[in-house]
Amino acid sequence: MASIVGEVDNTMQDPRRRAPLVTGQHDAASITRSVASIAEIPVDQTPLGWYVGFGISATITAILGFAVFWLLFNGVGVWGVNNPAGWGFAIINFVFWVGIGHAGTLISAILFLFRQHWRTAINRFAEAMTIFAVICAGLFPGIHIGRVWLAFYLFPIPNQMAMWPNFRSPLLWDVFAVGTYFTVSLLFWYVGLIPDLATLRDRATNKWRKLIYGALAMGWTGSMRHWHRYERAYLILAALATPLVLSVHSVVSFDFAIAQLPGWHTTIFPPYFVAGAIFSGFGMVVTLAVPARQWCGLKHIITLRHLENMNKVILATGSMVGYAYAMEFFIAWYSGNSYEQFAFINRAMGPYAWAYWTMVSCNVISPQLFWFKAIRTSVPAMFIVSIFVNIGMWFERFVIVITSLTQDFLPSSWDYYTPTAFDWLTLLGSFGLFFTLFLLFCRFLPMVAIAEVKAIMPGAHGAHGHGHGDEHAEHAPAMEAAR
Amino acid sequence: MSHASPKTVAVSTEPGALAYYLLEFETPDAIRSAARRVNEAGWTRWDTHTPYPIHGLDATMGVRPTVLPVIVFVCGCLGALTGLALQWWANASDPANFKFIPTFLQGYHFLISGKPYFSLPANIPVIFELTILFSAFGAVFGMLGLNFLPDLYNALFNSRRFARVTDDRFFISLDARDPRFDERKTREFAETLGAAVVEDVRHSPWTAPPQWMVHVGVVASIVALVPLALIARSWTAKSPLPRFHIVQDMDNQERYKAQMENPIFADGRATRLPAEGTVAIGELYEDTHYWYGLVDGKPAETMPERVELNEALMERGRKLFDINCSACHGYDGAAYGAIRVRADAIGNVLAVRSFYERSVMEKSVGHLFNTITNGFQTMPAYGHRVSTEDRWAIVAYVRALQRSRSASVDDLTTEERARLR
Amino acid sequence: MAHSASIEASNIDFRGHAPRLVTAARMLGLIGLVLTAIVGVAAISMGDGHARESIWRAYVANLCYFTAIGLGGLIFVLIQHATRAGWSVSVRRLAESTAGALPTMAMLAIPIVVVMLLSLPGIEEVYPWLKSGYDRSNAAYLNKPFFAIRMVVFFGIWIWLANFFVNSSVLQDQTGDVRLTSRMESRCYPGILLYALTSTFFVIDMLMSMNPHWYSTIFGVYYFSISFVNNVSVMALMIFFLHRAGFMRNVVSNEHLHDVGKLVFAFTVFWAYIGFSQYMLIWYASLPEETFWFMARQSGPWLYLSILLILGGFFIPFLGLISRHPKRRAAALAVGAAWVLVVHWFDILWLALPRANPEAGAVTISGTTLVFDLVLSLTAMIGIGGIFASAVLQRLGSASLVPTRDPRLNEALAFHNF
Repeated sequence: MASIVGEVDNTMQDPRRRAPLVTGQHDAASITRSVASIAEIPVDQTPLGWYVGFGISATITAILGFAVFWLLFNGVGVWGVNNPAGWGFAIINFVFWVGIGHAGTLISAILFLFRQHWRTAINRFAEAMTIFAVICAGLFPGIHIGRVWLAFYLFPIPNQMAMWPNFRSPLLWDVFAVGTYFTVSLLFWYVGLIPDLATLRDRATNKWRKLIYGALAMGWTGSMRHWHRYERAYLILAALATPLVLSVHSVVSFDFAIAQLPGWHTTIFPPYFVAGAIFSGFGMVVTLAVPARQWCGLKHIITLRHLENMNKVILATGSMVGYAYAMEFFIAWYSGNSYEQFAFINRAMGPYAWAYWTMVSCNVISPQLFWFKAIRTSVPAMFIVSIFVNIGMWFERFVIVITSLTQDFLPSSWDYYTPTAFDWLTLLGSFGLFFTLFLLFCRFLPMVAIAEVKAIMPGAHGAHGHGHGDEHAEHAPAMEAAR
Repeated sequence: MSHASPKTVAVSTEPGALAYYLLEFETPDAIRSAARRVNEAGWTRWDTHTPYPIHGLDATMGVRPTVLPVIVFVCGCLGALTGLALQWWANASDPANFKFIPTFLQGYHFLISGKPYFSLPANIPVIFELTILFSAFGAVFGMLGLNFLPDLYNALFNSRRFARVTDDRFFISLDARDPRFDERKTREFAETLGAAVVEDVRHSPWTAPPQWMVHVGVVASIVALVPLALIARSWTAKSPLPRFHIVQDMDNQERYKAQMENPIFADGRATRLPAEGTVAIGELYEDTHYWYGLVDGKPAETMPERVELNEALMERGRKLFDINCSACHGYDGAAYGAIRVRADAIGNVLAVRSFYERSVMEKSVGHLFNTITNGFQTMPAYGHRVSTEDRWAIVAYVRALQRSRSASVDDLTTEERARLR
Repeated sequence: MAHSASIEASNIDFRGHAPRLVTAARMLGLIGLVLTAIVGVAAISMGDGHARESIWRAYVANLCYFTAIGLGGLIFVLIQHATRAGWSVSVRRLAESTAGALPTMAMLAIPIVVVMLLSLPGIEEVYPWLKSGYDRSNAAYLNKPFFAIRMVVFFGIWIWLANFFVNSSVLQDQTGDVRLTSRMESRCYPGILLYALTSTFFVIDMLMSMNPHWYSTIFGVYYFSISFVNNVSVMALMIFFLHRAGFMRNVVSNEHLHDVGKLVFAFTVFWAYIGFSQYMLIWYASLPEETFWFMARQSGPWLYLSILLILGGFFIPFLGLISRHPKRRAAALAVGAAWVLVVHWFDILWLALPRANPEAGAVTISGTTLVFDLVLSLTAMIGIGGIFASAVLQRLGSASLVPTRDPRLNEALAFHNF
């Protein structure tokens, strides 16, 4: 009973029926084929485009290696950080990359809890994106400490100096939050991968592939008794990852908000950072999904409707960020506190006004274009907006970190922060690392959660639907569909 | 969907015992109704295998809800407690109460920005993260453990047909270990279940790993212990070498230190002199009696007015004398300190003055103060390491020592005289 | 489809039962308001300086509490349309009924605006910016005429939104017009924006401006978390009572109950997250201009209330509702929901009652004031709550309990959790 779905415009809005999530004539076998075959291309048939992309990003990663080596060799003086801006690109890039990661967890965990079945098409590579983004993020605090060989001071490891970390420092909370986030994201990703790794194992024709995928699949047989515990574990992980993802960017916001610095110390920071993180992450997912579906032939799985839905999330979270900006400005005025008022007027009119207005136009204004369906469903337009969102969110962190630090309470200590070439090279290099990892992932692992997509196809559960009981025995299976 | 007479496959050619009957189905509905019948027939060791979880099939099979949520809850509680205990221990516990714990494991009071040692609001983020971390470990490893994964050997993989279980086919495996299993009867039963195919799955013969793999394994295991052994050794070993200094720049920076030459300034000094005619705050030493022990350019005969003679001053003088002076002059001032004794023993000459020599007894307090401050002959200067107030305390104590050797009966009170008599 | 037949008219028609309940609730409400007036006059005439304001604080607190439930219903409906939710169609009318009580809340807000305009005794102590000498820079925002205009705007927007969404939904019962669903979908997005702004400024005006020196940017989000959790709790209670009375039994299943329970649980955690974020940031930075507000809530009787909120607002519902079993049993969930509603009533009192002074921190109040505070809060709760309940019941009784011709109703009826 292979499913037969007609070619439909699946962005239509007819409340009477749900749009199909997989377009074209597909059944379980063809889904397996179309996803798994990407990871199975023999080495000698790898498209030239992949090599070109990999070559470029690996070169940029080498630049990162050089920039980090130079930093460690010479000390943090090679960066533009100095009093009063003791925090520069390192913290900006850290917050930026952690934020990018948040969309992956939102898709894999929160949309799962909300039963948004369209997530299955994009969750795998969004989760991969999370992991790679957190790797890029973790790099920055690691090298920022200067003496990386003493990085273990960050962890509560008993040592001969009898030295413990200060647990009341938000920077230590970051260590725990980002560490937990990385671990849980990796586990979540891996658990989701197990059935698909088993698919690759079972399709493998080459001994090494069979061995490696077989070892990673851990002997998965698709046993229903296993699926039963697996599904429960997956649900629990989603329920754990949801508060976790909120906590991670909240803790990151605490780095700033527990201070007394105007522009940093404001109570809306935790939810505002979380909304901003998801916003930037979805920007990155769209940036990656648009070319990936094009080049990998996945347009029938990552359909226009998926992209439209993501654009709606961008619009929603972008508006939340706009709400937070407005609230900060209003309360700064309402408070009557002259330092607060100065901090915000200075952002908009001070020496960094260029950064501020870049941020506002990219973050608040550009996503508003998504109110129009024509733009929301136009692939080139959404690609451009998603790039703007990425830029805007990087500048948001720049504005928060730099404007408050360089112009604090004491005018005699004011200064203008100028990043050096090594700041820029490290930022650029982190993108190289991210794309290198992402290209390797696209090449060797299933980009789409094969088993999950099969489970949301019409007829996947038979005519008896969710056969928990008999009272609903006759409901049509077409309910499983996009919201 | 009419598979009344399933195709029978030839018995597996591989040697070994019968492990499973494997039934292949093409639709979820077919496997659902077959699974219901197997469950109703009372089977316990059997399973269904599907490319994706089919809603409700677990209930049809009679699978009971998993205990996993309880495991996760317990792990989460453990994580919360760990977070709380770790933070209290590291930053708020009093080592005095835990002397039996080795020093490197002891916590201590860690004062930061005036916050209480045990600051619950600040401890919540770490408690929360550890709760999540432990719960996630419980969920993932609990799931794998309950499923007995990773599974190194499963006879089902001997079936080529079974490769489609991760693609688009649905299977039921009837395990030969089930008490109801009977080679003939079970086969007959299996053939009534509407499967497209019924296949025998047999165990593969045991093949020993190649010899080279064993050798490599043994060597690798031993090599893996070396770093652990080195770590264990360095926990106890002592070394006279300084610790590794990988990159020097952070410790030995390029900068001018005091007394170095600096070409930037005309006078070539790195250390700058104060501007002419200025005095730094707290450095105007007008009271020469107090600061230098001089009155009108001569050594003072009396203690300065700012130094109040009292019990506390004498006690402080004694303490500082014992620390700074007794090594040479001896605790009693008779010039037999530990260094002097040692010098005599090895035949060196160490010129130390006894306080009870007449020339020393006759010196004014200003003179003694000056000697302590600037040193005299072989005696080094102490002005830079003992504060002015404290030097006067030492002078007072030295005077008291001298007095103790030349006291007369008149110095005693009537009571004390009565006691001595 | 097969299910449409299973919804029998009697099962979802509350019309016959509503009028009696509406009258009872309205009587209760009037009694409560009369009692409030009597005790309030006593407080103004007999009480000390702090008791004079008790009546206004109690009234504003309960006004905010019940408005929160109505706003929670409104945002619930808006979000369901925005996400084109299928599962919630069968319970959506319950949220529509609480949102439908917002016009009544507007009536109940009029007295407080009038009291402000007339500067009746005690009100200036509640809102110090009403005093004639008030000259902080935010006086441009906090002043009588602008406050009154804002209240008109806020309630106007809410009434307009609630009427549009409730009436369209009811109209669909008769016409079955699918375009109504599309129209509600396209209007809900600007509706959510309007909701976010109006709800935030409403609570800034009503509760945060009681200390015009104090400010917190997260305050609007805190109120949102209370509204949402209160509304879903009210929905859980409604399902319990309607089931007991024999209504909606085969329309709202345990699956829907489970989802409502999950929302109660999730937003309890969300509330704790927002509350903790606000407290921790102010505690850590320790700026006197911010901490005095919490100092007032950590001293005297309010300390016990703060502890109650931590335990009762987070730990008890968290542990009680974490398992799936209580969420799938109407009675157990009703107990949890009632608990949450009671705790958040105290939560609003915690926002409204403690007197704080930016210079002195906590203001000590006498035992008499405390008694007046609590008695008046209780009578005002009966009064405003009764009127609110009567409005909700009236809405429930004015149409069927389920949007019978919603295009996604079948999906809701067939809905199952994972």
